Amino acid sequence: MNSEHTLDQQYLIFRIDDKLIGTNISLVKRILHYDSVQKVPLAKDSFEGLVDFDEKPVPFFNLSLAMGIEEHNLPAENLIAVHHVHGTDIAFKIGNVVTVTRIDRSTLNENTEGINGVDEKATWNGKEIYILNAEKIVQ
Amino acid sequence: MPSEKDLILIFSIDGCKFSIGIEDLIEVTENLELSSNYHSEECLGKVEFRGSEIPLVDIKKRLSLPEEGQRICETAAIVKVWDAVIALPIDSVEGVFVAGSGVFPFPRIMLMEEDAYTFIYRWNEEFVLFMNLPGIYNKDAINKISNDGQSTL
Repeated sequence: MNSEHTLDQQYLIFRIDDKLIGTNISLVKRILHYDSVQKVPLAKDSFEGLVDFDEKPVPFFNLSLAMGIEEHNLPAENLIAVHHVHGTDIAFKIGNVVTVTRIDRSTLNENTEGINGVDEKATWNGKEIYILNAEKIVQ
Repeated sequence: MPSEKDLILIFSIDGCKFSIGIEDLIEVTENLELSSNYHSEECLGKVEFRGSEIPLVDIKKRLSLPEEGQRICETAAIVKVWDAVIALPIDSVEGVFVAGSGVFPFPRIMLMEEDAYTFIYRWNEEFVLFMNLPGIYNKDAINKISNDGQSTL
């Protein structure tokens, strides 16, 4: 393993519809199921309401809507990945979790096909991974 | 951050739980009757309160809640906002409670209008949104609502 490779970061890889999304695991506090979302009038479109995370209210963020990915197949499980971004906890609604893995940074490129909140794309096991910029997508 | 000893009124509108500080509440009125059918974009009509006509605001419209099948409400919280007194139509009152320890700052990042709520209370396994009425109705809006339908003579 070369020194560059040891600097590769771990990513949580999950699926939204037919796309694989990677998010830096250092921003993820927990992955868990959610039961219900409590609506919040006057919230931005991508924020569907509040979910309960350790008895605390956390904004529920519809990632597919914000990224502009049309979901043809709804995920089998109601999963959120609670991220800590902009100094606050935000629950990203994610699809099925695939794995947690290191991404070889040498495979990164800037071809993102115009998906919102994605600056880079990487290759992992021969598959394309869209690398989520969690801070950017929430703005 | 409000004190754990602060009293709050908790009420429901369209299935959402909201609260206001007891210091903003004048009273809760039931069996409301419109004293004037005057209505505008923000005002459902006027109601009589202690010898004066006060506006019954269209809070559902203001909060972008569904208005289909809206009936004339029978219950309202009479509240003071800026220098005006307004009637806030509500579906039901849960009661007045001590805020308790489950108070969280509102995550403003999720709001279109950052000043709409200030805190969230955890109450009976639900989250209650603490309304910031001066943020929901700014001074100009309140003046307009209060003066709409008044004679200018």
